[in-house]
Amino acid sequence: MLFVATATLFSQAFVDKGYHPKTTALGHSAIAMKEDAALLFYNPASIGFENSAQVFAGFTQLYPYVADDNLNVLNAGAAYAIGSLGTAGIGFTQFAPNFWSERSIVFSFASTTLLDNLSLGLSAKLLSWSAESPQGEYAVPEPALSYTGMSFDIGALFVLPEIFEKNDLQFAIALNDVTQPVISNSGNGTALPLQITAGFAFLSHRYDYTLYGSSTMKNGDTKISIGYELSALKTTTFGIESEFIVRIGMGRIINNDTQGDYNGGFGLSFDQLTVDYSYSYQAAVRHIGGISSIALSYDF
Amino acid sequence: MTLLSVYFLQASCISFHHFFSRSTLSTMNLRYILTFLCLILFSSIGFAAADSLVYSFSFSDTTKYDASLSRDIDLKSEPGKVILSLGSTKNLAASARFSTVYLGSYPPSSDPATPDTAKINGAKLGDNDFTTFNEFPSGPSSNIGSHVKIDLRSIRNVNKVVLVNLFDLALSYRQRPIAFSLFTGLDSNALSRVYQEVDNVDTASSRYTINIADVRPVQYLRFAIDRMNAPNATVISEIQIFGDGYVPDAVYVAKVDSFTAGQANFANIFADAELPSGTSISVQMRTGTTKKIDSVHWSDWSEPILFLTRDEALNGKKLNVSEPKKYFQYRVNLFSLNLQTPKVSGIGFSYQHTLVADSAYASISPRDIPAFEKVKLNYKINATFTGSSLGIDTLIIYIPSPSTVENVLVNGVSVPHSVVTMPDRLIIGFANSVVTASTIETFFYTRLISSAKFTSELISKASPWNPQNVEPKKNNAGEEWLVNTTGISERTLVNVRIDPNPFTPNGDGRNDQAIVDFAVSNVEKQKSLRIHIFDLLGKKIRTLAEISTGINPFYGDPRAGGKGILWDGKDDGGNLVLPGVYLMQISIDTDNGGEVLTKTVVVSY
Repeated sequence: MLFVATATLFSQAFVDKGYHPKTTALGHSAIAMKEDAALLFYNPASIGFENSAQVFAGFTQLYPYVADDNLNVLNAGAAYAIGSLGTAGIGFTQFAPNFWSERSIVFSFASTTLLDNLSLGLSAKLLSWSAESPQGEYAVPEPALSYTGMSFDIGALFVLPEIFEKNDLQFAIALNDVTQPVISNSGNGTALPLQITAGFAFLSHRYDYTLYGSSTMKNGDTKISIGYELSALKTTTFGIESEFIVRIGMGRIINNDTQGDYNGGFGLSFDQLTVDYSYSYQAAVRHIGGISSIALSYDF
Repeated sequence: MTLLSVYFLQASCISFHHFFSRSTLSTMNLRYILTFLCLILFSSIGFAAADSLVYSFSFSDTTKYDASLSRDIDLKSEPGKVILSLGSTKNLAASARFSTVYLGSYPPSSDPATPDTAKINGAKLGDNDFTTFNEFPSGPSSNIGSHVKIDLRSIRNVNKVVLVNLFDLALSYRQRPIAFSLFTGLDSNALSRVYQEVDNVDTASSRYTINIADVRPVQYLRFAIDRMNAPNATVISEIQIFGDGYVPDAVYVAKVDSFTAGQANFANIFADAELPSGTSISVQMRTGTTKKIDSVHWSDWSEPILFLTRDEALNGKKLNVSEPKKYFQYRVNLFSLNLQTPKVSGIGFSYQHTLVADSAYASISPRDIPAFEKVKLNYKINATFTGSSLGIDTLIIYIPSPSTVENVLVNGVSVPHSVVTMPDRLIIGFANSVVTASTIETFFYTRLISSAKFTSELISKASPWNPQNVEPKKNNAGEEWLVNTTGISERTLVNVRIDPNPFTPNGDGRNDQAIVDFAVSNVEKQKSLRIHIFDLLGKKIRTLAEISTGINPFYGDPRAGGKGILWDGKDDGGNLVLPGVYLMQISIDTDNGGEVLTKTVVVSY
């Protein structure tokens, strides 16, 4: 049994604003990525194959040319293998522009005890937001509002190793916000919609690349995403292994063409330390810049 | 009903009456109903009707017009009427519109740096300036087939066209038009050739005269080049056009007249006229305090008022002249788009010697304010009264942008009053008539994009049909009701605010909508304006506006008279969005391209 956290893709509060540059650079297509705490926010099962521990912390800046506001996101997460039981994970994200503050804490657990090649995971998410009272010339006095509640995600990740010679094929599915909580202060209004994402990853060990693809359905929208990751350079200097990885990805809502993104980034690792960077360009909203994200990870 | 509410209704009634009277809406019935309601209301509270006099003039008296200011009128052909004069000697090109189509590969340069560009200008073929010209350059690919299109903007029996050489001089063979055709007609797309010259060998004349044998009604002409001799260009300075029929427009200006009973307030002006199809007239007036006209004691001409009969004038536009005044002068503008003439037999206007106030002068402070910023202004009227004055019951202040009244003082004391706020005016109704010498101060908040005058009117309940225009107080710097703006922004989207922010669209009546409050500056024409809402992933969820702007409009709170754009927190499907941060993007086309501004807006509920 496993627990993991995910976030919603199209809803507003608690939407994925760029939890990790690795996933952003791949166009959010990497739901079938494994052994990576960066996936903790997307698919709870993704950490099930982790056999040691990993931590990361990241910073994301959204749309630098938006006037009079700073849209910055802080993220952090960790995954820790608990023997044969499985892997536990925890994630934290905070977004605090003008008048608004939003936090989520994700507790995840994933395990492969059922089948060696199958990880099942579940996340419990503690969600909270707070907004300042309405301000402005036309504002009518009204108290500040806030919300705290829970939501849950479930996911599965299946690995077919060593097929087609030195290649792996991985499949994943995640259901985010399965309890569909209403996140308003009053308890009325629109609920966080259920999000269903299915995807695959094709890993070529011979050529050191991975191809990702996913489809996400939510609120009547269907989004298709693809991503490509290439290990461009691997060296060992003074006994320290280093690697340079290039990533590109894109996604688009295909049923009404209201959103699309083009993404790219890289990763640079020295031994157990990795720095990842991504840039995401949103096609539908222009003149405000893109989304830049950087994160530091450490594998124990 | 309290006295205050009575006066509130009174102010509202008058405001609607004048609003519709000044508007271009065809709301005659509504105006009648509102006027009737006003009369009922006023009758119910009781007052004595003020005098209403009529000045009338018949054009049978041909001695009362100012010959030095009038032009192109005929007072003799039809006794008792003023009509357009016949214009057979008038060059119709002066009021025509010219354009040129160049077919060759060497059109005249349009480069502003080219010195002679101002002279090589096809649009100047009718300016009666022989130094400006239109040139059809020759070259490897000549301008054969190039043509000048002429719209007379009226229908005339054209019988003669004169081509004038550069500087009105005889030119060499190669520079004169040597082979050309003239086409005329009423349909610009179906013109008939009425004249053709195949080989003009006249080198001694500075002008070429085309006498048209087949004279018929014409609005459009086309002069086409059929042949030219390289390497010289064909050059034309003027194309003069003559024809039978009346001149397109004329002006009748009356001699200065005066009221023997002293100064008066002017109300509505009307005319007695026959207007065949395609003809029209308008009337204007100016007033003064001396018999001799000068810029100090006389006002400018009022805005033209299109023809109204006496009955129509009762509900028509009031004469907007400086008043009260003793001396006046009126003018009639006559127009024709075809071969007929308007026939005006009489002019009249209503007025009254019983004034709302004996004098009323307005000033405003502060006079210099920062552009786009909300400021508090004090509009001050100094009014004097005689024993026969009717007194002020309603004050109307015309405002260039939405405003809100804070307080009204009479001689420094707050008085009972009502306020009706409209997008272009503030209407203040006094519970008690102001009948003694007073200083009326109105404090209000507003924003200005550019310098503006704040004009006003005074209304008495005894003569609601004839408001008295307030005059500006003057000093060496000019009229003291003019407010100057400073710090004009170089941007197009100015002072953009989303207000309130956050907003709470939970239907409790508080902060349920966010107002997109901004101003558009530095545009000279209507522009395309778009406002969209995006979520943080860049998904467009709502189109709030895709409109054409006016020039320099404010988009403030619609509840305060602004043309504000609201977001109710719903997406394009009508669903309330989730709480969170959204992006509001305003984009506008500008004279220099476009401008985009994106701000965050928080939905909380």
